[in-house]
Amino acid sequence: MKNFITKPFWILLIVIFLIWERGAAGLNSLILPSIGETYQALKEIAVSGILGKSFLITLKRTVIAYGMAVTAGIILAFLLHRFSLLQRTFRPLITIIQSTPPVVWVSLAVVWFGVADDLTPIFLIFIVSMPVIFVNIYQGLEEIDTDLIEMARAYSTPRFRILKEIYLPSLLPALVSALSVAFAFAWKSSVFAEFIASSSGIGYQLSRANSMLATDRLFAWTIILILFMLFVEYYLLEKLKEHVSRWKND
Amino acid sequence: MTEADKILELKNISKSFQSLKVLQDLNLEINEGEICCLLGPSGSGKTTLFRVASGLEKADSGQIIKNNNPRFAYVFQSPRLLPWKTAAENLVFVQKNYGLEKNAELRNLLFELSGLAQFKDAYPHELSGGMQQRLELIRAFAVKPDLLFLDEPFKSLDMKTRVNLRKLISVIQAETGITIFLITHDPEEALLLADRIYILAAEAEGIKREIKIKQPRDSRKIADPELYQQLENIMEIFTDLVSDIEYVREDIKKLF
Repeated sequence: MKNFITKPFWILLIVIFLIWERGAAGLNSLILPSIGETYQALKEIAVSGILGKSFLITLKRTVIAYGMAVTAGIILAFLLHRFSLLQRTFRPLITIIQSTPPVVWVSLAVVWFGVADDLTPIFLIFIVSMPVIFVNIYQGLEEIDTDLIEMARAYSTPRFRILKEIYLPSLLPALVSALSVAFAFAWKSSVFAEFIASSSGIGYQLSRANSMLATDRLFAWTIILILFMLFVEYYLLEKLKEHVSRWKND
Repeated sequence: MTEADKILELKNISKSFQSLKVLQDLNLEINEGEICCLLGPSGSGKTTLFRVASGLEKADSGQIIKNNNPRFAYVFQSPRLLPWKTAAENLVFVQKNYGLEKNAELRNLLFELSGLAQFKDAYPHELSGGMQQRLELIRAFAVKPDLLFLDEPFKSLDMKTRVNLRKLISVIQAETGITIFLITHDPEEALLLADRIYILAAEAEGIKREIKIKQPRDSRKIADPELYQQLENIMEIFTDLVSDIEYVREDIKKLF
């Protein structure tokens, strides 16, 4: 967390809070609730159990779909890197998937799966995060130092060890960056899909708060989303980044 | 020289890259226990020959005969060290392939000899260029090779590091009898280290000359009359190899 907890950031946060509180004092709480009202809303959803339940539902969907996207992205990257025919056939398709706006995928998912609680978010997370993983890993594979592979082969290194001790560490920086970007996409996609086409999860709670004009709850849920994203980015992924930076020059 | 004494033989080796002929019907043999040096100007195909002889690249035609299935080791022009492994782990990485990973004593000795004993746990990026090249060299010795291929290992190093590395190679070779095939463009280096020197002609014309050096390696000095004469001879061959410039003297005068 040390990259996150910096003095300038805390100062910025205090400034934001001050502006927020000052703004809220002069505005209707429907437009901008105060820090106190937001805290109260946060307390209410936490005590009622909605927070825990909704968070776990969204997290479960995200983890399942993100796991699938990471696995598929890595396998596809290796296959397309290894076989040029596959590369020429499928590479443009992945670009097409990547450049299609998420709202199109959600609309299609609603048509295909109906307002299915799990399927729509899982489909959207997968389709949005998988190309991110693929593109990063594919790029990483293209940039692997072939001199190192040649050296390893010259010393009769078995294929499995080359994969484990050269390919994997070479790909680690690309993988860490891919995991980080893709998780942000996955988390946001999950909430977006739940907002549009689900009856559970944080996205659905946001949609409810929105329709009831409960702006304080909207703020409360948004804070939860941001806090979790920060935890993943600056704590979980930070461990991986630290591991990579041990041998990196820069 | 009997067949058994030859560790590696190259017969009628040819290699081209598209329309460019780099090696043409080249013959060369490396005897067991010697330091054999391939000397040639830049662009004469030394590295291609290194790659073909060491099995890193296939020849278009010709035959490579390895006697008694020798274990090869390599020192490349620029070090090929795994950046995510420490110096010691880089040695273990190759030793594992030959069941030598438990031989920490050998690793310690090599680190001691190369002056890298304090840097066993350092990552390659924490070492200087010369230290990385020393690490590359001891990694090669760490697999107890029968034949060590060195491709211009001193190319980008300063004088002091060159002398140290030369000494290191010379001492280890003298004590172990490991066969060494050294590629260089530096005649002095060849004369100070090699038992036999092949001079490679430019434009795929094959081996221009073979020189045997009889003086003991430890007492060699370039100022020694006999060795100095050899150096003069080599320089003459080198001058022949680049003599084309004489034909353009008039053009140079006119155009400048």
